[in-house]
Amino acid sequence: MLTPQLVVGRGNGTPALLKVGVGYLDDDLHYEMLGRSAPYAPAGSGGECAFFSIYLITKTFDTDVALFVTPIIDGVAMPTQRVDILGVALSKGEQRVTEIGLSKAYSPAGVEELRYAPRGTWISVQIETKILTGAGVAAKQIVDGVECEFEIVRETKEVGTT
Amino acid sequence: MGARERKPLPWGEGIDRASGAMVVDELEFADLRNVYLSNGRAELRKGNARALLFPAGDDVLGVWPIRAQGLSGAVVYKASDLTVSLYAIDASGTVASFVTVLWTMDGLGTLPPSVVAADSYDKLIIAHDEPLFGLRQPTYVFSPSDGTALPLMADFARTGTPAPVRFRGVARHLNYLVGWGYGTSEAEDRGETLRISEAGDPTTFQPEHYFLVGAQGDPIIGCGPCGGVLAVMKTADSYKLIGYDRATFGIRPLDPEFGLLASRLHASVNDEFHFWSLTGPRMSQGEGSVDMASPLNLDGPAPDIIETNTPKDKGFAYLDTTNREIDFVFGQWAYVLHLRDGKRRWSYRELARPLVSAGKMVLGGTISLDITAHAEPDTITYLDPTYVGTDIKPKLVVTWTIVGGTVTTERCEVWAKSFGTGGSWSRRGSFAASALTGTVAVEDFWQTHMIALRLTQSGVAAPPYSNTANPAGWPPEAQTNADTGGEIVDWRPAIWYRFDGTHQGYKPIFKGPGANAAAWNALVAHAPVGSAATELNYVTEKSLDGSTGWTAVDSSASAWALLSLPNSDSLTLYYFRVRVEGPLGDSAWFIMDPVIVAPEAPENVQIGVTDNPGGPNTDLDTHHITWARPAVVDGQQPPPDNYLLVYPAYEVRARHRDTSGGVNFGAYGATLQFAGNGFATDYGVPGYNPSIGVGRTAEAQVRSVQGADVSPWSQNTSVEA
Repeated sequence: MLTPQLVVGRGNGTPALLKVGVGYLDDDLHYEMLGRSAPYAPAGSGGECAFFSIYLITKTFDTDVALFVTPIIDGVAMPTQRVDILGVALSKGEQRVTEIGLSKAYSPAGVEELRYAPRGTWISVQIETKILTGAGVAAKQIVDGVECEFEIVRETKEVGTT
Repeated sequence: MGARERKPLPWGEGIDRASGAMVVDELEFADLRNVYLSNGRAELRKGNARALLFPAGDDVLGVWPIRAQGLSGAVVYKASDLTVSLYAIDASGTVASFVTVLWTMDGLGTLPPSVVAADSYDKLIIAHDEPLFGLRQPTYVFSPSDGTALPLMADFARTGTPAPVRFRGVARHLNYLVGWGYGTSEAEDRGETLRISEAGDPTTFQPEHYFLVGAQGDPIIGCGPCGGVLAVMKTADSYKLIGYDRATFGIRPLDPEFGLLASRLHASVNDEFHFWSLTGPRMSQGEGSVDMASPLNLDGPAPDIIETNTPKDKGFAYLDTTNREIDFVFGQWAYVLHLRDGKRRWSYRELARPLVSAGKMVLGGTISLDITAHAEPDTITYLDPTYVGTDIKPKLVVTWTIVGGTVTTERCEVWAKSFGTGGSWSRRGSFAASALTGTVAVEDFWQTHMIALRLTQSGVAAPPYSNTANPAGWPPEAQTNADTGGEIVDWRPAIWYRFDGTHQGYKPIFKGPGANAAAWNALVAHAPVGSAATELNYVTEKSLDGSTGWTAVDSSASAWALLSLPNSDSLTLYYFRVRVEGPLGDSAWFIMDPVIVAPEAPENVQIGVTDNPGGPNTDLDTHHITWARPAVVDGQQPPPDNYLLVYPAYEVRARHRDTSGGVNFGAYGATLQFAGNGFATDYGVPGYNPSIGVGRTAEAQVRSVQGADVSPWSQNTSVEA
């Protein structure tokens, strides 16, 4: 049937037409994905929470993917963690849930004595892929969702009416 | 402390779920890059895969579908020689054919140049989007049906001599083509002029059909559909062309404050006209416009990337209907407005390759017509070889392939028109598209035909059309099929196709006449040189002078025929001619050497000597004389036995030579007649006695007898004792 195909034109010395929405490369070049969830305040913008874990719910297809996950609490980025999603270990389209702990070490004398959950109001998560890092960057990747586990330390509450 | 809970984190909306307030600062809007959002999940965007690389050039300035022709046009700029070339792209989307060089730039103005074009009916109109009028190149009209790209001409100055038009841009609106940025031949630089073509004729512009839009000196930047009106965008304000035909057209303000930043930075979605203004993205539904930027950060995340790669006035926009998004692209960076689910979200896209244009390319459902694979004469299939004569029509097997798959409701129609006989287009057959082949009758043998296919799909109501009209000239809106009730979903342009089978050779042989009946007979043999399968009938005619008065004497399917020659006069010279008829057509006449209608002399006469049993050496010996069918007839294979000529009677005469009596033969003895249907007889040669002396020789002749007519004597045949 007659199908008008959306195409884009290249320039800068390469007069090529590219079909839009095909594959996961831009004319044979990789590109990166970056997604940052909106900041979320479980206890309200005036409350406080202890954040324990991030649950990354991913779905991948066919190939391995390396995701770089950075929790952000009150605008401060925590260490980035690499999560390898092994496509060969999953059935096609199967979901995988990965727990990422948020505890921080308490090491007053250079020796870790305990771990504690960071506290804050706002939490968000940044998920990235990096070009040619991980076997399956140029592959279909879906982040079905990101959840955080927390306890409310102090609710936002009304203190008076004038 | 309370119990532990798990809550999902939202993507890209920035909502404080507790307070319900929008909390994401614009500076935080770096949160979605190369990501699609759908139903709460984030997905890596898909890529851009190379479909076609043009053989020469540096920048693809644009690509546009020419739907009525089933192909696309693309414009490519080559920096080294400053040429702007036009290419035609076939329905496979992989083959680009060079058409012509549209313009050779002078090195001034904006480079690479910008092009704004529109397809209207079966043509593509191409304008040079150059703000400086003095540097603007002529507008061109590409007509794929005749393969030409010529300047658009009009007589705006009413001088009687049309001159090239230099529109800054063109757009299709209703059944008109509108062009802007060109005044008249005398006052060309009138950027606020909007001209309107004749209805249904995108290449004809009358001098009085124009509007002056807004303030003079403030040029129109671009135009695009906005529901039922045409948005006419200038830099600092905008207008709309209202009305449903030229008689009711009028110009009204659309937005008094906002206009278009650059000619290609707009996209239409139903009744929404999205455009990029001096202050960022906006949307109009025909009355004013609303800001669409929030919460997009127009200064980030990487304005340096944008300005370095592509100034914003060189950007372009397109609607991606598959993903329901509008992309505003600036080189290697894009702002993406997602429209899916009725929610408006923005995200960024960082492209691995810088882009300079966007468009749509006609791709098949595409019929790939495969005619040449059935080159002559194999392309001709004879469904009923026994049905011959003047009414026979050649048949043509056409095959096709469906690029991109097909569905069961699709049908493929085969159209044809004879070029040589001046026939008209007509539909010769309709087949299930999945069959990939069909056999249709065409005009005549040895004719060049145009063959065209189109794909239809049922289920869509459509007005009728004429089967005899030239489908190549139909506007796409009218390409409907009453017979199948379907919508035309594809059209393959006509392809010249020629088939002209080769004449088969044959060599008639004339033998005769014979004497099977009261009428004279003749044996005409046609020895086919080519395939006998293509020679289905042989026609023989006779004439007294070899040029006039030809009358048919036989029509036979056999290569050998014993002809009846009624009304032929004995001992009269007749000319005969023969031709063969077959599905490839009729051969030329083959005129044979003239012959006299008379009995034919026997051939291959032989004489044997048989001693008279028991008789003395001095008695007359009996000679056994035979004659038989020739081994070869005029260099050709002999006819079958049932075509041998048999006469009612034969006559024999003989003579002898006696060495003791002299060297010459004596006179022939009496002629004796024998009954026919035999090829041998015993005949005693008068006076011949081989026992008298060595060297005695006898010879004999035979002739055929048909009533009062006799054939010439056969050649003498001798025997020596």
